[in-house]
Amino acid sequence: MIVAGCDVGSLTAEAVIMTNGSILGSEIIRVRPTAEQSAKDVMDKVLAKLHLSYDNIDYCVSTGYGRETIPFADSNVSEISCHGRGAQWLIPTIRTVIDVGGQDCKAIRVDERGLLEDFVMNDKCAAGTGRSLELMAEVLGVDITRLGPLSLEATSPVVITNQCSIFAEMEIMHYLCEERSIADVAAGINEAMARRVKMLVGKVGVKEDIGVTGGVSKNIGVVQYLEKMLGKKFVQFSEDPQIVGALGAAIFAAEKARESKP
Amino acid sequence: MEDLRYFAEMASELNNAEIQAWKRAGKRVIGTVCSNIPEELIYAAGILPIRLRAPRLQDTSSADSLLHRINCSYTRSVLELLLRGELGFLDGIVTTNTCDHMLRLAGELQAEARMPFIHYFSMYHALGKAADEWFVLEMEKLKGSLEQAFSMKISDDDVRRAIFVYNRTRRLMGQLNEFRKADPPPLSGTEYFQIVLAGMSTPREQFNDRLEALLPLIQSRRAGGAVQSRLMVVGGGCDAPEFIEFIERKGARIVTDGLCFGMRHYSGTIDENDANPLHAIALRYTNRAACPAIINGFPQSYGILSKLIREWGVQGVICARLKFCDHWAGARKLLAEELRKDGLPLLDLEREYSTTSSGQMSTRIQAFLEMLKSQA
Amino acid sequence: MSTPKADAIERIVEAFEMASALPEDMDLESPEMKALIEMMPESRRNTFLAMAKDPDVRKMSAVFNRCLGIYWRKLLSAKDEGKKVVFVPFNFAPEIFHALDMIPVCVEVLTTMALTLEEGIEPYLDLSVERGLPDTMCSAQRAVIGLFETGLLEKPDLLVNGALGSCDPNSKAFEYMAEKFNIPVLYLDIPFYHDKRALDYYAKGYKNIVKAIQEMTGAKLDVDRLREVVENTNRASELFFEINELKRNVPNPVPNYYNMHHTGMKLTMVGTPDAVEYYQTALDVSKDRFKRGKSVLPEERIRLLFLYTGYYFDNSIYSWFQEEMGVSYVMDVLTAFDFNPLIDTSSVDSMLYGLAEEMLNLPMTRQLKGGWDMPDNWLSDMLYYARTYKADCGVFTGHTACKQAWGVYRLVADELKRQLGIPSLRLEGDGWDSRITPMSVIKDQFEEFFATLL
Repeated sequence: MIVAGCDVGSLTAEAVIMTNGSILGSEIIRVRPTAEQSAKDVMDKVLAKLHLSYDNIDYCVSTGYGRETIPFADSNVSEISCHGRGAQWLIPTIRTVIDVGGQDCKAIRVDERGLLEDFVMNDKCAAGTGRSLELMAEVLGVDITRLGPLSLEATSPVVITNQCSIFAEMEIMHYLCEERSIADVAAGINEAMARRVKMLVGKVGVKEDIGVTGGVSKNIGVVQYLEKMLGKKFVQFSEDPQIVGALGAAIFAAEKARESKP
Repeated sequence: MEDLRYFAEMASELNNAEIQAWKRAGKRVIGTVCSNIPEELIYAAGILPIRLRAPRLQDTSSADSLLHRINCSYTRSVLELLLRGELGFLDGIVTTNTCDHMLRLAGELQAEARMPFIHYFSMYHALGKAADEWFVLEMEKLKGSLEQAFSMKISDDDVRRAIFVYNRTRRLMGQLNEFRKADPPPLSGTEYFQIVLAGMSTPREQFNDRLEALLPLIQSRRAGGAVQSRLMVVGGGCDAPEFIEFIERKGARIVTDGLCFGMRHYSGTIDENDANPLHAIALRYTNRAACPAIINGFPQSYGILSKLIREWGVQGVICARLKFCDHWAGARKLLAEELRKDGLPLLDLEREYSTTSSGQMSTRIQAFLEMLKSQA
Repeated sequence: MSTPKADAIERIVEAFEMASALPEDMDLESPEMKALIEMMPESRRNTFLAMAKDPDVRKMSAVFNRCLGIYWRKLLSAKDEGKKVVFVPFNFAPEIFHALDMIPVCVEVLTTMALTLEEGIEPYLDLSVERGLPDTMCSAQRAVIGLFETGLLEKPDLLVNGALGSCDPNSKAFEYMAEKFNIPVLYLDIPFYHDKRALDYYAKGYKNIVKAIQEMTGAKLDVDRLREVVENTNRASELFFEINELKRNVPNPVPNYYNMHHTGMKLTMVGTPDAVEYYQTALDVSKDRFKRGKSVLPEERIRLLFLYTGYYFDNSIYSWFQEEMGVSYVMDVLTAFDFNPLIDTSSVDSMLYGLAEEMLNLPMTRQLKGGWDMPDNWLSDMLYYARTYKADCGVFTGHTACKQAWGVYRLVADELKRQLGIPSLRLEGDGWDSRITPMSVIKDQFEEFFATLL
């Protein structure tokens, strides 16, 4: 039995194909103008890679913002459940998943089955999301992927205090004018981001083990600051943490397929 | 259900066909902004009190330039209606200072409304004997203002007759609520809210007759469908049946609530034998589940809500609170902590008054329901 | 930030004691002073300099800081001495507690004083949100709640939730403190109106509270002690009325920084001889300045009325007005005590009624309850203050949490313009949280606004 999970988010879309409890393959793309198009493109890509077609898929679960508009999905599950489930499947001891995506940030607590125990999602503005990191990186004139590594080179990180993104940008420009090193400013940006995430995580309470997913999990700077603030080490995923949502969807798909075809 | 359509229609417009008919008969209508304002007293003057709402209003830009974006969207919506001239059918408004937002709305209404009657009702903010007494004093003041503005007299018997009519509604609503204990309930939360809102927006005696006729039809209705999560909704400024429908479409039933645009508006009855009818009215208002703006009211409210939770078999609670409402934001935290002790989860949904759906909200509600199922 | 371990009050007291040593011949340019100033965290440095630059301000501040240091040090020994500590909001007069030998702590003043902590108040603001309070609530109370959460602030014996009907965030914060940290609490409701009937209702509530405090704590109200306290209050009122008279002069000789002190004094120490001493000092300094023709530098160009509160997270703004911009900060709502009655000391009853009347006229309570355009409310007060203190312009600082003020400032500002021709500047920021609008941005906006006036 072959199942698929398809996660259409705000910045990227991912698809995971599984069979008999193991991952066959996965793909990540930047989103297209519509959720439907993103889903189709990412699925086409992964299916082509695996030399499969839509007919080979027994069950597909969609998730993410676009989850309700994907024509080839048999059902949909919230990305909160999927992230929890996917993360716990990869690392069975995981109880808290921190997912920092492009437009939101979630803290998810799961039980030993990978099912939701509690969750919290930010509902304010772009601050504390991947989108704000992108903007800050732009002000700094570096590629988003370099924010993390740069931050490791910092000797005396700046402190970004402003919460509003606009004022934070002004603060960054101020530091640049003062000729502070790009590395120190990058570290400050990551630290400020970690502070925002920590505030959210505190609302749901952390239980170990903890894993970080979503695009921002690739930023080593944010991750290290967050570990320091929470006083805990995060577990490492064997797979790209960005596909965890789609993976969770595929696991749900396998279950639903079994339920529907006893 | 055909008989429910009437209620849905009445709920969907503020100035609906019944209100228009009432006005054509030469009778007056007064808008109120808060469920703490004693409707009975206005009705005793032969004037129909209606709770101000702004069904389907999306744009509040005129009001936003008077009030500020950190004033809640309910107050901005009511003001918007006024600025657009959509409250022209009213003969007056009773405003109040239950919370900071209401207080500022009152100021704007007073400044902007061109109506013969605008009255400030000074609300209590803490329960107790002093509040009961103050409430009576304020009712006397309101009574005097009505009498003066409309050149009439309101007798104790007028008040008693109004109490009787409003008590009848409360008893009928109580019966309707009893049906919702069934699993599955014979009416959806959406339908219930349509009835609730119709009650706030139509002549009460007519509404009572309609509701009485509806009850046996609901009772005999066969409710089918899959077993769904039984939820309670609490919060403020939540009066859109579309929003309730949005939640229910995700696979849930709203079986009870703690909304001032819901159960709380009709809870409790007034002692019809009290020698001082105003005092009797006061007690009904101060004894019900209090709005969190009544600062020491949490223990009393929680006692009432937890009884509802037990008796109506509630599995999860959604707190739909308006952005910038500090009262509900604070109460939400206290409530979540109490509920956690009983193993009952609470979903916190911050929303704007006009929001009936959104992507983020959809994700949260869906995840909440998935959580309820997995932890059941 | 690594979380500090030491008690917050102890560190606040140390800061104020340090700042009370402001000799008149202090040389800020000396190498020792320079080194000391350099060591201070930025916000504390700014506040220190705001108090220290001008010798007159230094003199007043020395007395203020010394008194406040002594007052707050009492908190540290309260437990050992069996004294009860009670937390109150901005609109609860402290006199009754002085008379009952208890220690009143105004939560908003505590937050303002906590700004002197090395780590600032921001970590505590964040912690309060992390533990479940909304960030739309006021920073002036969230900091204290955050401090409770860390255990760096001892819980009081009692709370009086007394801003009901005049400030939602405050009322909610007190309710939250009571429930979450299990602290006994009393409530005082404020009615909409400002008439005899309303005052009677309020005074009745106040008297019930005084009774309840005695029942809860075993303290007994002694008429002579109460009279002593109230006489101190009356004396302080007479003194600050006189200072206010001086403010009417053009140029205004009263230093801008007096406004900060005034609110702090009135909400904590009024009723004590220390408060009388402070006001006497401030009056002497102001009279002397008047005689010498001293005012803001280089000369008084603008007389500024704050239509609401000021900024507290960085007090350098007031010395900037004073020493560089030629801006006289004549009044704000939190220093608007002109309508404080002198209290009739003939009986316990008359004094309690007088204290209730005082409280109903305290800043914010007076202006924020009820309708903004009613008599004795916001607009009438702003018109009075603008006329009396000859303001040229107004500013609304736009404190982030204040739904009350935001909901109506425009109407007040429009009327000031219409009736008196006084223009107003609208800012957005937070009184206590430095991260909302940075001081540099605030100053830029002021400069632009002043440029349009000159």
